[in-house]
Amino acid sequence: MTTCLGCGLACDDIAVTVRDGRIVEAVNACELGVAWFAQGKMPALARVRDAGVTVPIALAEAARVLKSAKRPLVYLGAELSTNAQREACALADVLGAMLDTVTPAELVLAVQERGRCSATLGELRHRADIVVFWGLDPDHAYPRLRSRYLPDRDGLQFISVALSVEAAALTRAAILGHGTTPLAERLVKGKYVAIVVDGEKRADYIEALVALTETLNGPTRAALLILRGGGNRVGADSVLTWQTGYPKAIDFGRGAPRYCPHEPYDCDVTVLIGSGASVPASLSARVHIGPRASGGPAPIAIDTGIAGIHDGGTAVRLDEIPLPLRPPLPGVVPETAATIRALTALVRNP
Amino acid sequence: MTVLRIVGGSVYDPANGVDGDARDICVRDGKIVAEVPSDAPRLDARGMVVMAGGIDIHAHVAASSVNLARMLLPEEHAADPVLAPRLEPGDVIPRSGSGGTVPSTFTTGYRYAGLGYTTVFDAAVAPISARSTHAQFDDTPIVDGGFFALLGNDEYLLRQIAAGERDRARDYVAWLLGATKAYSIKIVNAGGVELWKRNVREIKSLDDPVGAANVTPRAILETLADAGNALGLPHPVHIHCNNLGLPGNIDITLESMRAVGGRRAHFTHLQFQSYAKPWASAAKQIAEYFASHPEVSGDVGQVMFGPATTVTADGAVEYLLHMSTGRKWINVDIELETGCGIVPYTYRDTAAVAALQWVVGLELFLLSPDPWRLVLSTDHPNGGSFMSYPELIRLLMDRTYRDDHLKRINQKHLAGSALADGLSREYTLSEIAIITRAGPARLLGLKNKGHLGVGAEADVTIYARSSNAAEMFATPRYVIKGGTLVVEEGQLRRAPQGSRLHVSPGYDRAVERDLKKYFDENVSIAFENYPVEL
Amino acid sequence: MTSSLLLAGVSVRAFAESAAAAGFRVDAIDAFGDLDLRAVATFHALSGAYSAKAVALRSRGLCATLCAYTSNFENHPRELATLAEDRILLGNAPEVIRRVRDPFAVAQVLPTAPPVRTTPPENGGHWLVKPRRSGGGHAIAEWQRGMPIPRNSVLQERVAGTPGSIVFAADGRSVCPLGYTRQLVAADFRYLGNILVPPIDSAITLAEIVTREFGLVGVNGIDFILNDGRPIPIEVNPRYTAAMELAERLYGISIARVHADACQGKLPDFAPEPRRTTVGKAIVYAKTTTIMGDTTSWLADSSVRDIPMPGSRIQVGRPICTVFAEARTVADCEAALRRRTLSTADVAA
Repeated sequence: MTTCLGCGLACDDIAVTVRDGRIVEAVNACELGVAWFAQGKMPALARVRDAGVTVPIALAEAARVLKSAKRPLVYLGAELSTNAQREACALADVLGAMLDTVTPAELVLAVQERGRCSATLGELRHRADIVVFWGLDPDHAYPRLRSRYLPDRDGLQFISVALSVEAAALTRAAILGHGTTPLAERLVKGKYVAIVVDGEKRADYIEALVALTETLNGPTRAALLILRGGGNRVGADSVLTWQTGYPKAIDFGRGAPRYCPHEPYDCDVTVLIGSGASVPASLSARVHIGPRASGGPAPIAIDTGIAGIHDGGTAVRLDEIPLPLRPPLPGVVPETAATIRALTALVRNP
Repeated sequence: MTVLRIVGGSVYDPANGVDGDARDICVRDGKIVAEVPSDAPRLDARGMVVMAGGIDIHAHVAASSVNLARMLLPEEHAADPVLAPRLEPGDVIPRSGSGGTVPSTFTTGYRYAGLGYTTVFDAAVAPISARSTHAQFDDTPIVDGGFFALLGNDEYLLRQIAAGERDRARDYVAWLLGATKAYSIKIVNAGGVELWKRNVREIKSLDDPVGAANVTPRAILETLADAGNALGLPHPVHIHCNNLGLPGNIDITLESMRAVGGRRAHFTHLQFQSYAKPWASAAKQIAEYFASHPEVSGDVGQVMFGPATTVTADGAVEYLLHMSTGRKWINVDIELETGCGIVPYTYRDTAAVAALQWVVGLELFLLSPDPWRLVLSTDHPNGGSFMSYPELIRLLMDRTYRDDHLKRINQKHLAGSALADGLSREYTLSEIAIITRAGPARLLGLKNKGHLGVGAEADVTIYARSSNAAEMFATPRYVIKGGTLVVEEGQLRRAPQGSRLHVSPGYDRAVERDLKKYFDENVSIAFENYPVEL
Repeated sequence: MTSSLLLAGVSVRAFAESAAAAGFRVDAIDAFGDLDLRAVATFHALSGAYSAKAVALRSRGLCATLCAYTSNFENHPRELATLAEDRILLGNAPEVIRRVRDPFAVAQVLPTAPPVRTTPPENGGHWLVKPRRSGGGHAIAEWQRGMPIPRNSVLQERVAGTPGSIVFAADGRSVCPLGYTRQLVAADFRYLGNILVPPIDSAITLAEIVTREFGLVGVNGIDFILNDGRPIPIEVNPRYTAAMELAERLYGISIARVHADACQGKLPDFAPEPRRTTVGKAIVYAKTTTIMGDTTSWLADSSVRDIPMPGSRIQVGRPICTVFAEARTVADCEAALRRRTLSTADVAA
């Protein structure tokens, strides 16, 4: 059984069939998952500008460029195992670089400002009697959220709201006794309320919903479930936090990590690690180590694997539960963690 | 280095009856040995104090809840950025980090080692996230690590209790400890976390029903204490009682101790559990109980004035703390087993309750009939950072210093307190060695740690003497971990990886069939993915 | 991927042909800018006389990703470093060539190498005086007692026998032989040409030793004198040598591909085995100063290479072009080459 990282739900009950070195079947996977596993076949090249080279040559070139950079940026795309994320953080530390991820800054800032009331998926399945989808159609981006984690059950109500941040504030005020809203009236009658929001698309809602959920934990119990995209994005948040104290937007330039979520990058050389999808176009990486890097625009590119399909290790589900990866195609492409580790060793040694 | 002779230090090794004698300690291949050749490298420890490496029996350093606390506190980290140490050149990459009350992992390892601590236990890990704890320990250099797995509100366990299946409960515990590579059983607010999830915040007695009538905090305590002892665990069970922090909780604390009487059981951060009503110290009652019940042990959970971060599985307490202080709050309900709550907090000596808490902790130490069974902790970071241990040691060793401080704190709840009346006891170096090394090792069943006898692991801390105990214990001159000199002349020079300490007790494999069914029906991860490989 | 490759040296035509055939996109800088070179590569002319320094400066604006060099960049490590700036160097690095081009270092490592010295010998013996920055046999002379030894030259004891060479690929640790040659050398030690010969015992050992000691990568050559059947090493050429295109012609291996792979740690699965015929090449020198006619028709003749541009002026004694011959025996090949060089020189004039 294998863990799918097609979205942040990280379903770990997928039965994958491999034939002739290709994934031909992924039982239990939703259509997003099937598309994610279909990436089995991968290039395994290394390139410096237009020249196909060996990985050691490309790494030597990358190390050379990074050592002479004044202000490098290490940027973590998705599709990385926690081991690869650990190695990338070490690289940034050694380089004195900036380090950032695809996690929306507003998401992190909201939680750092106020905290958060949440629950793991199984808790919601067990206990929730009201589930509010806030500005979200889960079947589109998280197809198994309902079928595997919030199946229909006697006494379980689903409410779909397409409401604004202001509406969240009004509902919160109503719960505190100022005014009324129909939503507030329904919610306080619940035994355990789950509010579900898409953290990738609606990061700007998070602070208001954190406040609302917190206030609901008085009259009743409540949890905010923040959905996240695939490729172990929450893993990057966790790893960077335990290794540095901060989940993203870290500047090692002064020798110790400094949190700078509001500052523009102003970096001269960018190393992109992981997938190039979901990465801002302005990033313009000079070095790209990740899946299909050789086909992308970076001048120095090394193809490595996708966590969960080729690279093993651990990934973290959107509710922070860690899961093992059991890649069905190990060894067909260089492992990302090992490649970054080799790059860091080259950067450290003259 | 593989061979070393530590020459002429004053050795404090209470487990082997050595109380300050000047003698050599010999190290070879990571162990203490009787002799080494006369031309072996020497470390001159004459005039210095030599002890085994410190052992922290209860701290929060590597759980996924701890990591959420880290994430919550960027302002603390910003005030305490930590450069990478200048290690000797080699393959180990020195790493920078952040300090504050919940430091990043590399900084945690370096700072513990810098204090002369070589073993640290994370006291509360949700089994379903054990993988994350192991990863954080992998990134916590030098110290050996282990953790206690939270079981006191575990749904499967509660079902076995409801069904009267005590044997199955025991097999489950054994399976779980082995699967998650844990060291011991942790109980936090038995039954109370499950009730918190149902929005019930107070436990009135040990016999409150938690769902089924026969599932009570008492039944949970008994079942798990029985299991831990029957399985022969080196540290059978580690208990955080109900109603932590509430005035009058001394009753339920003593009741809990009686409930597991006769079995080895450890009661943690007793300071938070030792309040009489309305707000007064009940430390004396704890001391009396300890005197007459040799099977019970505990750690103090001293509060130290200054910043702290409360990180605990006791969700209800954290809710109350958030509501009363208004500070930011994280709560996570963790499926089927436990939860966590986090609220940053500051203990001020001008605040009456905090002042009382400080006094209660000191009374527990000073009235303790047996330092082997009531050891040092601040429940880091709940009562204060582990970096405050040297200051705490000074308070225990220096009556004048202690009394001076006592005069300056809020006296409101201190009427009738033993400390306020005058406690003259001063801990000796030997007793400090007991409450920070030898005692925890014995309570944890770590036969080859906490002492410097032949065969022990070569975890050794060497302090320069000082009349100021805080200074002395804050900066050991040398620290040896597993035979490697990690701190030299007060500087961190090497950072080898520590080991993971864990148990794998035997059990009846039949429980796995039942568990698979339970997992399929109830748990959101696959049964196969629960066990962790190291 | 079509990799861009910059080739630089006194003459890069042969290497460029190999590289273009192997799929590289070639930029070339050399002293000649011959017609056949321009047919397979983008040629970048120097504004003045050829020198390694001029080449290095000229290379600066070019954006080729890879670079490789031929004679005599191995004598100019600083200029090589400039050439390789911001590029991936396929070949031995400046630090390596500094060491391997030190005749004393080589003599230490190869016990059978003839002695070298910078001061006159006490006893007699036959000695050659050669510049440290030697190549192509230029400026080598027999040393007579009383002759001053120029500052950047050494004395090397002369060895009697037949000059030859081994060409091989190296990955820094191991070697793979690519061919063995007899060299054609003029009385004044000028290099004239090469003919492929069957494998020579123990020549490969020389290659193994220098590769291990100096960490050689890519294609390399060792010149030796075959004395009583034993190869006495006299010079290590840590780069593409003129003999290598013979191996390409006779054995069908791509020297450029072998070189690129070997520089990245991969040696070919190959051994030079005798064929029914052998091939050789020789330089045609101008007997008088010559203005070339329309040489474009020469392009179709595969037995002529290094074709001068139409209308170019070749001084007496300078090379006009290179000719090839194929024959059943080495002796026949040598004879054919002699005839060819004479007739070609006449035709040119």
